[in-house]
Amino acid sequence: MTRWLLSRLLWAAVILFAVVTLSFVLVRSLPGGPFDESRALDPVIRANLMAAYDLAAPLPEQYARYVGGLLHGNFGPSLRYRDYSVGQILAESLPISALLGALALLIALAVGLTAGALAAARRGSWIDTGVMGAATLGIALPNFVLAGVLVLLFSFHWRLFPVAGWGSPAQLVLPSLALGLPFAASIARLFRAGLLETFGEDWIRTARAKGRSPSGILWGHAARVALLPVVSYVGPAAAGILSGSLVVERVFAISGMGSHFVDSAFNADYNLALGVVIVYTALVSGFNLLADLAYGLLDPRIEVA
Amino acid sequence: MSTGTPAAEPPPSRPSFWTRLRRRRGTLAAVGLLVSVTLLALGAPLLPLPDPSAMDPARSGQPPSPAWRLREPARAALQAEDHPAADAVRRAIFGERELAGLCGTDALGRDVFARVVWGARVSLLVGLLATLVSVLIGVSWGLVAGFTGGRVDAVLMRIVDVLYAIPLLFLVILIVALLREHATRLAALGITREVVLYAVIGAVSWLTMARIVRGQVLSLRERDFVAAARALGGGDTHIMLRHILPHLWGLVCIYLTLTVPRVMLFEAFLSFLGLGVEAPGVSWGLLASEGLEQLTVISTSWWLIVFPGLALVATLSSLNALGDSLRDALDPRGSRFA
Repeated sequence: MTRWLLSRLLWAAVILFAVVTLSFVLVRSLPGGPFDESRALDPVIRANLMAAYDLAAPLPEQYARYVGGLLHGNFGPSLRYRDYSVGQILAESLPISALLGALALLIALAVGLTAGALAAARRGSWIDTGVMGAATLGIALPNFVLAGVLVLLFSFHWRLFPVAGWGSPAQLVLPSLALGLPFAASIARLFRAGLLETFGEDWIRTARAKGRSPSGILWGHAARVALLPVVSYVGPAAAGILSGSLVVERVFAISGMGSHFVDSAFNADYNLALGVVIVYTALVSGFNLLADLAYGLLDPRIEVA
Repeated sequence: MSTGTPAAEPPPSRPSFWTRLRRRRGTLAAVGLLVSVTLLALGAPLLPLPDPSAMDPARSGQPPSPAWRLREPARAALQAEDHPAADAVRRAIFGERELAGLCGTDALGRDVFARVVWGARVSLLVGLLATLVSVLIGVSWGLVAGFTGGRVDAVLMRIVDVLYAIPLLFLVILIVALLREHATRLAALGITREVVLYAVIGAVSWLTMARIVRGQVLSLRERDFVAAARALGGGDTHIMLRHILPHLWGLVCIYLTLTVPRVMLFEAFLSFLGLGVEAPGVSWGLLASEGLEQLTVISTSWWLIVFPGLALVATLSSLNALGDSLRDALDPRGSRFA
């Protein structure tokens, strides 16, 4: 167990290192820079600025210094928000994005598992057809279209929730729905398929023969195995929710990490963009690790060693 | 499939691929929808529609109200200039009339239905070309890894593993955003924004294809016909291209069908963020994005979001459904219940 965990952590470190290197090289070797503005700077000032933000030295030297800083938790200064360090911006925006993402994941799981179980329990009925039809559409639904429709219905038509912003609980509802529902569609399909597959097993027939109720069989016996494909989907879903938040934060004017990332890409704010990419990669690796751990806990046949 | 009682199990004789494909509900509907969207997109210049980028302040922000009206002569002249041959055909069939306002107009008075139809051209083209790029990379990567085996295989597949774990979307956004600054210099080299889109989206969408192709090649290369080809003196490249590649097309076509919607979603995503297709051009993602921008408390122009959104959802879910049915028909064990 410890060995497995160590090797997985090592693998995560390798990935993180690859991401840092790849994105650093891509970003810094592309021509153009944060100080190439329409107003030409005095060459001396420009050179000073480049030196101050460590953009003038040869690439390997910059890279060594950047990684050195990262190891001390220093993401460098933001190139656009002149008085802020990337660390400060991340510390402000990460909790916002994390809350939004966590809510979206919860919604995806709650809606997806309920819908999947209903569809499997009433296989072939109109509930099944409806759930599967909705899921087929939901998988193809871009979250900004969903966001637009939700705003039209719940903000303009029924005036239940605010259009945008961040802070009050009512403002959380629409963004997390827009972010989470498309993933609920995938989860519903996976859980339904898993349950139906499991219903055919011998030990389910045994449980039925022993007189357990249908819902007892579903949640007490079958769900445990049928959850496995869902659990292995949680990693990719978390990654999808994180990248979906780029768009959803923009639609609802939420200043989380996603909107900072898009702005930083537009403004050539290298350090901020790199910082966000690194944090996101770390989060995704963390989720994949958790999913693998949960996998072992759910199915006693799988040895996490 | 639909009844679920043991008595309704299919007979033991294995039905053919096409029978199994047709048996899936919705497959025909999906194919029909895709064919009509493609025909609409291809025939856009022939259709009696207003110019998709012609602004008309007198008709700004109108809800759907279809009208079979006369074309304005000035506009007609412009359209005839853009597509002379198509406009002649159009005039021969429909005369000087056009179908305006079927899906309303946007804040600048442009016809939403015409924009959705013309947007289909861009969205579908980006989807197809980016998918081709991904197939090209994915198939050659998987083919080389699976056929060569050993250390080459290990290294190639490890690279795929690492790329899988990287949030590539972020890198794509970063690259596309930074390349924007050099649009004029790139254009001089013949690299337009669309080309950048195909290349970049394709370059990050090949991972699954590589894994699947490799798996298939691993089993194919042990088959007798490969040994026979080798005994006849065939080299590695010859065997890969002439003997193994032809066996992969079925599989590749299925995953191609499943890659197109993902890639189109990607394009919509980028266009939404302002990094994809740009202003004079129209794509569904861009249209939905414009619709969202015009959503204010004063005017709730629902048609600006709903119609581009419907076009996207209908096309993407049809592609998904078709891909799923193709996969199930090829491998009935795969996902019986999905």
